Amino acid sequence: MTDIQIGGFSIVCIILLIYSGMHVAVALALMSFLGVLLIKDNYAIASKMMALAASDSISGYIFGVVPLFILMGMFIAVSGIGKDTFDVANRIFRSVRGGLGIATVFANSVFAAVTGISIASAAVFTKVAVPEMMRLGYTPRFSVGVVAGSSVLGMLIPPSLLLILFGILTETSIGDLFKAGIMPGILLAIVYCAGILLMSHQFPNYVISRDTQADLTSGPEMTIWEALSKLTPIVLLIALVLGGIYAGWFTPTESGAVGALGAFILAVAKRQLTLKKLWDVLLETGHVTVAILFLLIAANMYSRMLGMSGITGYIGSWFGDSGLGLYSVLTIYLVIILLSGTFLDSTSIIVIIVPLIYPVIKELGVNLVWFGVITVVAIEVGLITPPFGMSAFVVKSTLDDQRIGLNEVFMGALPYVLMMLIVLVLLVIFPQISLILVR
Amino acid sequence: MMAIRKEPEEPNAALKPPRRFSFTTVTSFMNSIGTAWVMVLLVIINLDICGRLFFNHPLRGVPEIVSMSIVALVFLQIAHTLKVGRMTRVEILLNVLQKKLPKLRLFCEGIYHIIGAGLLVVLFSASVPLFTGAWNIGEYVGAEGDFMLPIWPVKLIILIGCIAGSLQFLLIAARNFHQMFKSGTSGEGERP
Repeated sequence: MTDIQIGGFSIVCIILLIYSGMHVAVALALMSFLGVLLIKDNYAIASKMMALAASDSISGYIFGVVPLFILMGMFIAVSGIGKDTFDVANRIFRSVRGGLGIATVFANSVFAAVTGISIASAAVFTKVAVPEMMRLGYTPRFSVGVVAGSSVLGMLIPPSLLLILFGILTETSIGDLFKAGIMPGILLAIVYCAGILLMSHQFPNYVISRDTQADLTSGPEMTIWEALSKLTPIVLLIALVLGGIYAGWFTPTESGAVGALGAFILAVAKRQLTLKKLWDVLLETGHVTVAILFLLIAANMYSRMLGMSGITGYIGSWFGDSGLGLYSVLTIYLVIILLSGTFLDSTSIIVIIVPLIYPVIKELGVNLVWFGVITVVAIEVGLITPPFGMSAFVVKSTLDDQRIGLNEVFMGALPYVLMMLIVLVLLVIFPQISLILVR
Repeated sequence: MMAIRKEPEEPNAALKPPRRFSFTTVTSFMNSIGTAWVMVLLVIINLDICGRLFFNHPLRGVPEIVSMSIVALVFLQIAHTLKVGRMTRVEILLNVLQKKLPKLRLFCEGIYHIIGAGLLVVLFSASVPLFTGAWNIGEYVGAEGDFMLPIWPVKLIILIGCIAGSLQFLLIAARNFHQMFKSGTSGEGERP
């Protein structure tokens, strides 16, 4: 076997092993180790490769962003700010038909600006928004669908774990990626709102199951001051974190630390954080962080193996010889990601596919920041597509109402998959949408 | 807290050291250090920023401490993360197996965990020279006379983490195989 064949064979094996249930990091490390062993025919080189990846690949100030932004999201999730934001949004949009759906999207967008993981958004809003929508007569399918659909905003609007991972894997500035995620996130939220309006006017039975006009306009009153006092903390936090990065006051790591501290103070001020809860939050942060960083170590082994096999160069020259234009290459790439998204989770896709393809894309002179944004949007579609859709799983497991099945969540999320694809196409055609805030 | 959690698998107790100072105690202790350390990072980075913004005097060595801490965090917490089943994996196929052939699922998992243990052993053996090297020449990060941080502690934590992670993988594998044989006998008994 040639080196390139070994490389290709390892990739196939990795995908098969992951799908058959091996830990993603173990599958990556195993096949990288075996791949290098075969290519170099030398145990010392192969094992040294692993040791270097373990001790060097995540040793850097920038990797501090991972635990810190996760911690910030966890503090925010326990602080009850999600509910506050939803209450205000509910008050603003309740006279609109389908208003609670729009309120959910709006609250999710704001929430997304302080959290970097979609599963956090999905969990919080399943608890907050779904019962309220069901109470007011929205159909179960619509209610869970809108929560699952809008949870993807959590990883698109910065801070975003997927953008951080992309930045680390491709050595692209995480600050720039964050800036580039803002406009696509807002665009997606607007498309969602438009879609919800369209659905509630064209297919009212899909959205609302009984006539509840009377209920819709009632509900607790809220003065403008109450609304402001509920929104101010989160707006301040967003201004501090995103404003800090945008203005260049903080590096991404520092803004993660500032944001986590801010979120901690908020959670304490709202009396939501007992000592026990603090410890639980820290434990959870630790486990999520370790899982991701260990995956990054394994991904580093994998890209070292790919580098030695020469397969990325081969793919690059194959694309060159095939005479395909950039858009054809991108289309193939995005379709592969969308298909992978149906059976792999988002972090696995990003660590498997990105190291393989980004040298090729870089060679073509493509802006990596823009490429990162479209990659992340395509990967996020996989969060809500069956059979493996992480956000849908979280919505299902957080639901108190056992009558709503997983299928219902996936069906409900389907309109949002279509809307995401529309936005994805727009982002590919108009790179300006992503890049307007960068620089 | 985690240390006193009772394992449901009593027959496995033979595989472990006595309870007083069990392997679980060790992994939980390592996990707790890692857990608390995140909070320490949060505080020192914020102190650094405050120092820089308000007193024009940043804290020395914060970036170096953070860089090294991240590696240490991973290896301190890896065993515990494995234990609580939080390592990323895709379980669709395994769940299908669970319904049809539960024994095959346990067998696969057992094999996967043994492979994980093996990889960590390889990683351990290849990381030993990195530790001894750092120890012998007194390798450090930072600048001479300004802020110097020796790097051997991190390399040592990598070694400890590899051992703990490897043992944890083996423990889970042992449990998988144990269950496989147990359910094997009872399963056959139930079948007509």
